[in-house]
Amino acid sequence: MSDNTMKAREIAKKLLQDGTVDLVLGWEKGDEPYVSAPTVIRDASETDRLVVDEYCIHDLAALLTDYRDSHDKIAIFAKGCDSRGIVRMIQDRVITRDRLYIIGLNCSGMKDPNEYARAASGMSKITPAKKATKCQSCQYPNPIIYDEILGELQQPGADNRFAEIEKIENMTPDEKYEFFSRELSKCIRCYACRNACVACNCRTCIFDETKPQWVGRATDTVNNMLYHIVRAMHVAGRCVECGECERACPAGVPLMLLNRKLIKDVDQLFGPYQAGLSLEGDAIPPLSRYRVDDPDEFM
Amino acid sequence: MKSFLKYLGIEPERYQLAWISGSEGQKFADVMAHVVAEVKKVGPNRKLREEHE
Amino acid sequence: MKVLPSDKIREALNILSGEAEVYVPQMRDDVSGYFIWADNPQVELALDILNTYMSPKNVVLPQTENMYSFSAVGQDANVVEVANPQGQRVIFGIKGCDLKALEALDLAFLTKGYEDEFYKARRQNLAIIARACYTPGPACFCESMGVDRLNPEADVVIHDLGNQSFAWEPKTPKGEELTSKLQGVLVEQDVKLPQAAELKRKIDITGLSEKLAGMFEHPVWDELSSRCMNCGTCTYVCPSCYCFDIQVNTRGEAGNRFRCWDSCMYREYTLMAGGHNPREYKKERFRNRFLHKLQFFNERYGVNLCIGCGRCVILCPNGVNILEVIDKLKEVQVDA
Repeated sequence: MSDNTMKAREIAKKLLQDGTVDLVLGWEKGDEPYVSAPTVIRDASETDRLVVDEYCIHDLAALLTDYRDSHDKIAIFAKGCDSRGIVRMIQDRVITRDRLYIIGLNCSGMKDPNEYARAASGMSKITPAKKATKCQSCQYPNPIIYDEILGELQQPGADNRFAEIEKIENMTPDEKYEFFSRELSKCIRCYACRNACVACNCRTCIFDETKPQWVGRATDTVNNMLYHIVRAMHVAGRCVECGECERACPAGVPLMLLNRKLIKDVDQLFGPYQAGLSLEGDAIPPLSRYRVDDPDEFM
Repeated sequence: MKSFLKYLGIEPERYQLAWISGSEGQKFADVMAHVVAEVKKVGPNRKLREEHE
Repeated sequence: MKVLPSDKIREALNILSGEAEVYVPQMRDDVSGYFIWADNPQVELALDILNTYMSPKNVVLPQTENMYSFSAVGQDANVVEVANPQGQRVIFGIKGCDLKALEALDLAFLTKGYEDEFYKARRQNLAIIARACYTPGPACFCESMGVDRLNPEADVVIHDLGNQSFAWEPKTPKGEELTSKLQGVLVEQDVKLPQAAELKRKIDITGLSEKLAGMFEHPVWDELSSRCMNCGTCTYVCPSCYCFDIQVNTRGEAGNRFRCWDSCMYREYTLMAGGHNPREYKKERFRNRFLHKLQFFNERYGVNLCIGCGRCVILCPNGVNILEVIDKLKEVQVDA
């Protein structure tokens, strides 16, 4: 058992025993070695279920929407990307900082349990990657907000997040359209991307509205493209680049190619700005506030 | 938005933004004529269209 | 026994496609599913993996299905019924688990006093060439759910002899018909059928359906649903999930009505016209799905709706595992 797992269990036990928190959001092992699934623990005697290992890829911050209306105090484990997700949740007023006790984890990159599950099941011949796709160009491996921290400080790798984006920007319009309509037509409209996303935290999502229905439910290319365009624009400037959307997608749609393009644009037009890095008053997402010096080429 | 649509392959001439007050009638007419001319140059749009039988 | 050699599979599929729409496991980029065969050398067959990600339910229940189109003609509405598929159809390589799901779908769409004409049209002329399963995966538990994986009930049963050649066993007159169409490619050979590997997982669901009938308000559902994010992946890859929505596409004065997959995992699935929603919260929707699979369907039709293919277990992004759920449900005490 790893050092971090032992420490995690001790911390969680103490927090529950002395009443600092009402529940702990963490990960527990499933029945396969590659499953470390999100779990909720309310009883100090159950903290031995907790585990911290290289399969703890799920962003627990996404579960905070379940507690938006309650008053529970919550201990939550957070890797670098997760901590940005927590900032997102606080800035979007889903939860307040004083309800959270954040146990940070300096993270060297996770493996994607679904890749392992698919390979082990025999449904896929693809060898699982050593590091999950979303972890490969991570720039924030260390949590930027925490009450306690575990693990050694990590160095971010090379920043090649926008390499693919720039390649696409250099294509002709027809090539671009051809590329995206092919990729987005794989979408089966399961809405896993929306449900996994920390920035998608509206009580009533636009895609759940039926009067009027903004985007049709049919899975033809056009409706799929519209769904993704609308979702990307709704999270633009608030997306914390955690990559959960792409990871959750069962159809392999390369969603980060859309989200990263907007991250780049917002940074260039309204920035420098990266979402979820700070709770300071002036770190509100640029599209959620107005400043006199906002770019206005259309004027 | 414009940059994003361009990234997806929609020609930028097709989506244009202009700030025009209700009292700037001449400006409105000019901008409209300009946009129509630009879109005509790019030709009929085949993208993001629903095909009906 | 007759054998379909590995190098003749594409030819056999071409022959069958001459007179029918043939659905075969294929790769589309990284996603495997049952798609119509069209001899495209670039398309990879997916007969060598355990099973396809996307289940074969799209063969009888397409993800989007046009029902009828309409247009305004003066003051009247002109309604054009969409012609349902009339011709022969064949599904090639379906496994016992997915076939059992198909039987469940038949019960839902064709019995209890109503026949769904769209489903019926796709189902009635469907010849089934099923594939016996000798090497189950780690998440498979079909036998516990009543599936016969070695001798599925089909028109033809094929057995993977290990090198992508298939022993070919016709079982019905329809199967004999298909066999005679393929007499040019099938060869007669002495065949030793592979040794069937055991399923790693067995689970006893005796009495579960009855127990669940008294567990609707049980607090265990809070705990079980906590990691679910209602994304709907499970419902879309599940071969026996059949919830659908009927929607309309209108453009000006014309449009069409279509059926599309829906998911009980979505909040708006049970949202009613007046704004009331009986399944407003995640726990309620999660509970509904598992009760449908393990209790409701059983009570209504006498068979399970979960057929043990394991797709939901493998593909859930948050680690929801129906086997763990069943274990927990069996374990908890139910107060009288």
